[in-house]
Amino acid sequence: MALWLYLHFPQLQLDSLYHDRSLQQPTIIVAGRGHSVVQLNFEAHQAGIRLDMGLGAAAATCSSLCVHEYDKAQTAQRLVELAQWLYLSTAEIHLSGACGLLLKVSGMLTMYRDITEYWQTIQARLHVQNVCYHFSLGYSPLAAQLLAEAQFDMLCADRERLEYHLGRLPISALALPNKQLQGLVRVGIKSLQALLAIPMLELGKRFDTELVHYVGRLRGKLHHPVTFYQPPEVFERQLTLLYELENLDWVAKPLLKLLIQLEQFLKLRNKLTKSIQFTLVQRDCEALHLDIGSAEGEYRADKWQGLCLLVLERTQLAAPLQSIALSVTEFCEPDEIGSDLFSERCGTMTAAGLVAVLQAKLGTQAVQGIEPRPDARPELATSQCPPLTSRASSTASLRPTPMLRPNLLLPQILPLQQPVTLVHGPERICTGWWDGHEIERDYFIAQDGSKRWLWVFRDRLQHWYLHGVFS
Amino acid sequence: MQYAELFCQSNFSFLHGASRPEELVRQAHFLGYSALAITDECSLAGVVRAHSLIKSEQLGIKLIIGSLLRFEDLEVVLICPDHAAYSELCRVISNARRRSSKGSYTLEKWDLMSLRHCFIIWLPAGNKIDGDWGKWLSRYHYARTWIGIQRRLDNQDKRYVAHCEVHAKLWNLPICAVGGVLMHSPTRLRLQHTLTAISHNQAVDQIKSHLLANSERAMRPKVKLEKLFQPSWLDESQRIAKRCAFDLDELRYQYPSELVPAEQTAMQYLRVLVEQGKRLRFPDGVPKEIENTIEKELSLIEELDYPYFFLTIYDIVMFAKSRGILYQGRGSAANSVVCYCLEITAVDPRQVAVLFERFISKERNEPPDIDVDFEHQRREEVIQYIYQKYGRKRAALAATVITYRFKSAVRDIGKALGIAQSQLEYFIKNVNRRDRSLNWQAQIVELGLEPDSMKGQQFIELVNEVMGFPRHLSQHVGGFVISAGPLHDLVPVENAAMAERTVIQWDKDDLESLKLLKVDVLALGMLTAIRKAFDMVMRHTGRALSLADLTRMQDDPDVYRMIQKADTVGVFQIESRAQMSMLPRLKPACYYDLVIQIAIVRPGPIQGDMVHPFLKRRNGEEEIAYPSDDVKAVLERTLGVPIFQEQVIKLAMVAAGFSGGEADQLRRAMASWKKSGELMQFRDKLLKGMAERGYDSAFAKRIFEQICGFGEYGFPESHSASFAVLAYASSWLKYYYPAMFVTALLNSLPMGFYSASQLLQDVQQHQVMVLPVCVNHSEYDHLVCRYQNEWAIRLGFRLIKGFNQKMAARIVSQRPEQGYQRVQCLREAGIDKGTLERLASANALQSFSGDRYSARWQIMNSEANLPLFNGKQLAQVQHTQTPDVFADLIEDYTATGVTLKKHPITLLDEADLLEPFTRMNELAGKTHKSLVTVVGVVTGRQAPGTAAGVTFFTLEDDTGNINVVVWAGTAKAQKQAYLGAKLLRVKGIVEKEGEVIHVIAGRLIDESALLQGFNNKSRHFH
Amino acid sequence: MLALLILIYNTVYVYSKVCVMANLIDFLQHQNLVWQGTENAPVSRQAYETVSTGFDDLDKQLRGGLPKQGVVDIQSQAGIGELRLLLPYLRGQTRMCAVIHPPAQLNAHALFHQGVDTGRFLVITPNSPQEALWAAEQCLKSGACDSVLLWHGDLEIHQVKRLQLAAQTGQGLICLLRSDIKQSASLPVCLSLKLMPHDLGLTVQITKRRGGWAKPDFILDMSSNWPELTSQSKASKSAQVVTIAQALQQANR
Repeated sequence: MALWLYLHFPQLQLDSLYHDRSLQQPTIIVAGRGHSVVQLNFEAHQAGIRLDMGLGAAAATCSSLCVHEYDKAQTAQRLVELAQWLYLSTAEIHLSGACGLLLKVSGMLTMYRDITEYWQTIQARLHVQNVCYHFSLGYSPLAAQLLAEAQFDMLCADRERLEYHLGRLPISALALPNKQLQGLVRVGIKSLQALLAIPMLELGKRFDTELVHYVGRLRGKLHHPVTFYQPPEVFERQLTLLYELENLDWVAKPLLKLLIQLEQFLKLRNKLTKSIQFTLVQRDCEALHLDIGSAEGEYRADKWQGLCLLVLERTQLAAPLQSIALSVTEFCEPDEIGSDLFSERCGTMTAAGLVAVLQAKLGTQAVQGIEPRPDARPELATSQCPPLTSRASSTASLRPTPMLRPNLLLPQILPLQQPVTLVHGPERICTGWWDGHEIERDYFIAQDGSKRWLWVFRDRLQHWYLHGVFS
Repeated sequence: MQYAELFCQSNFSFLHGASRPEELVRQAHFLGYSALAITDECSLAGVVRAHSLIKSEQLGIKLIIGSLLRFEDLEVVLICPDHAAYSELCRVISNARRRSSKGSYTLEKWDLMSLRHCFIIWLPAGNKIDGDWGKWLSRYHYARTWIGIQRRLDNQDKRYVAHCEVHAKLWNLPICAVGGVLMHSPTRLRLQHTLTAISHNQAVDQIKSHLLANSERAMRPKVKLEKLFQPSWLDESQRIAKRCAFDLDELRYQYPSELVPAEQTAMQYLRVLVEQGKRLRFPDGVPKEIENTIEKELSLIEELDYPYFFLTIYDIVMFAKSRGILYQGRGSAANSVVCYCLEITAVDPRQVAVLFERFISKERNEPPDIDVDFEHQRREEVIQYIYQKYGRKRAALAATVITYRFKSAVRDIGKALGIAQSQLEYFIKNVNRRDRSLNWQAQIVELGLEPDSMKGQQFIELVNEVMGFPRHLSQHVGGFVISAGPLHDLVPVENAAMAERTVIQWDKDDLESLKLLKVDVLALGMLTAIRKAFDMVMRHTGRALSLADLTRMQDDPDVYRMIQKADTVGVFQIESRAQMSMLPRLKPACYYDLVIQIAIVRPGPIQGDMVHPFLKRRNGEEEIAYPSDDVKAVLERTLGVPIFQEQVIKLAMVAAGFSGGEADQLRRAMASWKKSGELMQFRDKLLKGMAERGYDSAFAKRIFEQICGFGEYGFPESHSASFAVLAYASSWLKYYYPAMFVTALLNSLPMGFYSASQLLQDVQQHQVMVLPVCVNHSEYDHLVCRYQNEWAIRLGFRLIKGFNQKMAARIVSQRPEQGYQRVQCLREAGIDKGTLERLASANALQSFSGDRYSARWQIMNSEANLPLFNGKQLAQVQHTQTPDVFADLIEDYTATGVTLKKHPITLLDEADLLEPFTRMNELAGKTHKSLVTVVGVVTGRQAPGTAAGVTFFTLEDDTGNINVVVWAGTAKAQKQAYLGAKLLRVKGIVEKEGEVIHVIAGRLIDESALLQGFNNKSRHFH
Repeated sequence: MLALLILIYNTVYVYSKVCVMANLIDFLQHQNLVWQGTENAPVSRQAYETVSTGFDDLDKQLRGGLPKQGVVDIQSQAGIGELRLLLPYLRGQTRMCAVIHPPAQLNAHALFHQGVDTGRFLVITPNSPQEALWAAEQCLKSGACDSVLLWHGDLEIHQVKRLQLAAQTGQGLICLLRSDIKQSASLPVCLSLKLMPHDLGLTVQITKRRGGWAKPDFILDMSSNWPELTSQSKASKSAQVVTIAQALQQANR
């Protein structure tokens, strides 16, 4: 039978949130509808807070309490990171639930002297990560898991001893629905030992298959499904230049070499990427990182090269260039792009392609989309957005009644300097108290001496300002 | 310039209007408007408040009744020129509301088409659709339709006005100016925005397109209106208002007439009934002075024209009587001899003679008050009788306005400001509203709200502002309004949340303001229990009892001796911890003492600091003195200390010269003091009035303090008198028939202060044997039976949680003569698996199946369900696990909430897990003020809203119960132990008051872990 | 009758530079009483394909509307309605519209309420005139844009030629919005307009139209599109105009 090692991380979020800070303040993490405590640090424990306490009780117990909400995504992310980190030392890792890793030991022992050395390696890796964990070996994944969760924390591969300790576990340690557990307790089966003593046949008469199956897996008699962790794929290439380059014009060739490699990499996998990162290593100087994006996803080297050159035009080297590296960490499927509203090709480029080129040359900030907002305050009724992202959905919440508004708004409101004739108004706008930018204005449409149509307003203090032009 | 506002919504247009009707009226008056129409959307719920304010403050402004209605794209305000129009509006609103579920309405074109009397102010939408509606309105309602122009000063303002003018010309409709008021002052804009956000269930900054762009929907000064509107439009509004002559005071209640036989007047019939009642109630002849009282009462009833009211209630209680439903009337008018004769109440007038004079007071102009309590399990029968007799058109429940309280305000405002929900819940859980030293704002700041931040300030302001705002209408617990004609001519009716219930749009205060009567049909658990006890006494001893019989027997000293010992677990009203601690001090010895006892242990008298003076005077430790004869007449019966609500009102009248109407306002202000702070406005009047009449200011101030103390909790003597009857009756039963009484209580649960477990322990201490639930002996209800020649209680299946009543009946009806012998027999009798499991859990199968584990093991075997095994004995695999005592105990508690076995404290003590402590029954031997340690299971926790912020814990060990008194300071310092403990060790001081013993807690130690650790051995390895 | 009108037309045509007469033609054209020479002319005779401006009057004056592709030069002081002139045209487009170097922030809210899909707009704020021209050329060339609005000062002929070429490649139109122009030399554009304020909207002067004759000024009536931004009649005009001083007095607070 295979031997498994289970690592249980009871407070992953707490560990990852604070490990670099010296903890003084009692801190808890709460979850669920009742906001009950699911993780707590030493100080919180000292203050008398316990697991499963409600937030109310916890707060009543300790006044200077730091409370965080349980973040499932963050915990999951952290677990993947741990798996990635351990992957360097052990091959078969299964992500078990929200806070456990199951390691298959059997296959790895040939790589290490013995299990002790294997464990020391794993331990050393975990130590660096600064996480709290419990562990156990087991001859079935489930057995290892139960013992680890019960904080067995001993490196023991002796079958009988493991079985003895397993037997001592209460029924409540099993990850079974509460109803099942109660069913067992209600006929007096309170420990695993008592459960394992009952013939499977008798269990089958009285309990559903889920329980029988579970016990089977626990005993190692039935298959426990595991899917082993696969590290994500990334593209990373580095090119050390034969000569140091002082002029970026010369970098085009080596750059293309990398981009062609990328093209091959992507073609092979039928993927596209929306952003690539260049690292330019300079002599005795910080490396330059350049992010280059293309909204529509691209794999072709020449297209990327075009964008790169535009970006390089804006880039200054601080010192001679020694090497360049290209890395791509996120990929997308070709069909994701298919639905793009702006893909209709008239000339040589798509809208997204055009935006990529413009942004590469002029900088991201210089090329923006605009989007109306349902705010009554004129200066907040328009917002900038990444190009091509403004969609009908954002305008759906706007009032359909047409309003007359100036096409151009001054970037800064100016005191009104010239005499004007008020033609229309007032339109009174008093709102915006909720975010501290409260306004109280009477807007008028006015014409100045040269017959320009202006949008002016008067504030509460009867001062007049110019805000827009009906161009 | 004269101006009348014809379109104004109050906060009874829920989550839209941002000012109270009272605020709107006051502001309109302040701005010099000649009239104000309150026109909430499809509702008249706010109009009475506006009406009462105008009346009580005698404001020179006319109130117009109206309502905003929407149909498809049409918006109109209907307003009522006369009574006919008012009835029409009520009908339209009722129809629209009844078509839709609670809180919404569906208008139909026919509703609008059918209008004949209401004035219509059309609010054009400002788009093309207006063409159709203009044509329609001018065709069907020409001469009663106006175009109401609003000036909102928004972007569309000019266009809109031009548009309206075009349509006015097109359809030849006159234009009037309307404000579309939603706020009495522009400062309410924030609140209005916030309410809008709440109604969209999102944060303010997420629904910006729905927000008003400015505060122009606040009430505007006339100067400004003159600038905004053409003079002719303003004049037109004024002209419309002038044509509105309807006043809510015109409404008169039309009593149902079918109660009176054809050839008699209502008064004649009432006299006949009273005559019959006399013979029943006074078989030996009516004493002279009572005869006189009856005559006095009857002539008062005639004079004030209330005979129908009494007849209506008489009819209802006669129905209850015919069904054997026990009831008891209470309220000022209920304690009259007429009501005694009509069998509305069972209070013997000879015992409470002193109450007569305080019957309906003419000068106070107060409608008679009669509430009738019915058995709680059977009240629905009475309600259905009323609906069936008068029909849904003529009978409906009064509304209760559900308002924003602290928690709901924090939740909704917080959400609208985008504060995280977990933070809000945290605030709510941790703010102690009883903490008088720190208001909630300060506490929230302590809990981490930044008071200087903009959000923090807005949050506090808005929560304060919104508290007391109505959220929706709900149904009153039992206040019925019944009328002769359709109710919807009187007031709009709408659907309640409960299916088949309808409520009117006014609450009880509104009804009172308009002098409309309601009949309160309330539910009372104790009546159920008393009736059941009477039945059991009859069945087992053949003795027939009734409430009237018990009061007629006059005071029984043995029963009062029991009461004085505070041996009152299960007794009505005087069973609470606070009551029990007072009993030995007050030592009630007669009926009237009970009346005082019930009223005195209320937050009112305790806050007003009246308890101690009363006790001192009663014990002769303090001199009884009265500042004047007038005051003496009011306070004599309570030794010069005001204890009842009526006394306070009467004091205000005789000592401070309040008029009847003012006194009535004072009474209502007292009831709503916490909500509105209205009481303070009476302070000066009261102090001044008393000074003028020569009372010293210290006395006057004390009286005012006492009025404040009465606050929400003031208890009227008339109610206390009725309750005292039930308290006495239940004490009498407890003393003479404890087994029957407790069985009846148990069969009436849930009710009262005590759980089944506590009631059973109490009865066991009174030497009544309690027998466990058994599949071969029990029935669904608990039974009284003979056991070892004594009365004993056999627990019934109803004690088992989740037990099916039908299954219980089947178990009893199919039970073989020699009883069930095997699980299989029960299965064959058709008992389902769930029921079997519950029986096993309750250990009710013990007689043949052994312990719970093996009973369940047998039940669980799925083979038994296969036809092959039917009727055959199954080969059972031996089951080796057996429950230990503690497991049994826990199961007893989880399955039934009661154990008849060893107490947890005994078990823990036997297992040697407890440090030395004093048992409850040993406390009697301790000296007053000595130090003790007690340990017990926490069975009760009461925090009455008394001044000192005391919490009472009931601790139970294997020898009895003890009251632990925890002062606020102690509780604060030891919150951890105080909050969640199930098993508590208390170190404190014994306090003895006669035979009653408390422990004043010094230190609280949570020992709950012991309960868990008992059978659950540590799962850790180190 | 028809013959007579044709006669009048011809006569008028000869003296077309007389403004009074031009107004008469406008009037006649409004009434659809005049037969216009080019209306039935074969398409080949036109110098370029046109697209409607959204103003019927203007379309008539421009013999169909704006060129579908190419360079249009619009000279106008800012704030008299120069952008509004283009709005109906922009509303009808499906590809992107690049707005380069506008004199102030483009107000998406205003565009939305005038029925323009703001999702198609790309606002470009270049750092130099060179970059502006580069961006304009890229946008035109890409074929992703229907139109480019470029605010710019003086331009060289070769620069315009490049833009013209790019416009042809991408089949787009570029509008040069220029004010306070010093240069008088004619640029190689398809169409050149000069705009002046007018009570009813704008006075439009077509200073150059490829393949067409120079034309007299005419008044573009915008009162049905923006009634608030025109002074419709003399009577209402005096009623509506309020000076600031009066407004102050009228303070409604």
